[in-house]
Amino acid sequence: MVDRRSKTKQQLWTENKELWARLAEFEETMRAIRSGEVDAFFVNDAKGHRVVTLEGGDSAYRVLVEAMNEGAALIEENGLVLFCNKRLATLLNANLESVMGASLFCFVAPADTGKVKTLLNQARIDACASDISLLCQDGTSRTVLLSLSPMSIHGSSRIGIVVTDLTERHKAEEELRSLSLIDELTGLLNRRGFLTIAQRTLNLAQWLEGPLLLVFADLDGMKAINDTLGHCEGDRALIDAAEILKKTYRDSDIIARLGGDEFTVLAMGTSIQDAGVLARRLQSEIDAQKRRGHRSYQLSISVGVVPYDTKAPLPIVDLMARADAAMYDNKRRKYENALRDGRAWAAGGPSSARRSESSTRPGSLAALRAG
Amino acid sequence: MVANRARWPCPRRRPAFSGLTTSRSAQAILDAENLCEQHLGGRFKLEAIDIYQRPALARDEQIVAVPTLVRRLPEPLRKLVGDLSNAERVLIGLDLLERDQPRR
Repeated sequence: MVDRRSKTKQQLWTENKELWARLAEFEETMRAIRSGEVDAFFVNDAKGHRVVTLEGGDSAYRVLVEAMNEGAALIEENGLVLFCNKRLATLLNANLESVMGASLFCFVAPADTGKVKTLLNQARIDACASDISLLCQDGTSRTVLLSLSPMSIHGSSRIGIVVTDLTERHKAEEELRSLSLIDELTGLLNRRGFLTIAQRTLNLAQWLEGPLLLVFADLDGMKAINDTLGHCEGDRALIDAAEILKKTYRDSDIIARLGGDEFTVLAMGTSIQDAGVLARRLQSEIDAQKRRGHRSYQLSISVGVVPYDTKAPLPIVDLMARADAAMYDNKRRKYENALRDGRAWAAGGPSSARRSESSTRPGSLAALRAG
Repeated sequence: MVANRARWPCPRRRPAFSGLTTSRSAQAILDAENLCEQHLGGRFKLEAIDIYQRPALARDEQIVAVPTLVRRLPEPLRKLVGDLSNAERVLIGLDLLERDQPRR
């Protein structure tokens, strides 16, 4: 009986203590709310559960951060992640809990650690951004644009970061590059660009029954320029050749660099009778370039010209093969004349030049035919 | 592309907190971690829960406001809402320090 009364008293004491603790907890909660120490309330009612901020509704900014397609995080100046949205965790192939509270440097590829340190220092003063590689939890890496902005939150300096996944953008850029119709070095059309436009131009000439001329041009001694003066000078020679061709032909003519030192021009409204005039204009432009005398090489261009016969139309590739053959004949004649006159011919002659310069070029005629 | 995996998982202990990680909550996470490290000598496990991201968990834990710090162990469960920068308040609130006893 004594034990029972004693046990009841003990129970009462425990319950009493628990009630006091709960009451203290409740009072402390009310005090914190009245003192403005809370950010938001969690409401669970007939409408379901939702977060209500002190502004009186769901925080639009917070919803925005959670819904955005970019990773976002609030970090300390030393890189400690205080908060991140779900998207950032997804980009890192990790769960939220393993990202929040960790250092940003845990997720940066070792090669980019120095870059991120510099960015963090810079972000104390001003917004900055750079491409970096993130290290994902599964061991893969991901290229992202890391944007940082300084923030002041309740008197504490923080840094807001936005992480944009560049994987898709890089893929698209690569695709675009592969679809490019422009030769990066000369700014002329490339082989793809030329073939895309040339066949349509042939069809148009066929329909109009108008004259059309295909010119195949090849820079003489390109291999010798590359071998003796270096590839920078070789590139400059190609750019010069492109400029000369642009000055020689009309803006409406289609001028392209097929690859290596091979160029081609499709001139609409131009007949074979005009070929002589064009040849003189080309030589005049080459001479003008030589007179300027600021190059360590002497430019020389061999051309082959074929007219497009609307009575016996040929596909563009066959027309180019004929123009190439005509160009080669001219080049050989130039070589033979040079030998006869005792003049030097760069790279030993057209035969050796042809073998060494054209055989492996991606834009050579062999490649065109294969393509 | 497989990169260096040795850096994952991060060796740093995660701050732990139950609540919305807005500005006050972000500060509260740091306060809670510092306090636990100073007063609990490493004998703690902290978990940060964002009620925007894990509302079901917040409902189950009967969270009413954020930031809220929940002490799960030792039982009984204790909760503390609001500013965690005052260590004495937190320790008393979590029943880790004796509060003034009620008069019997």
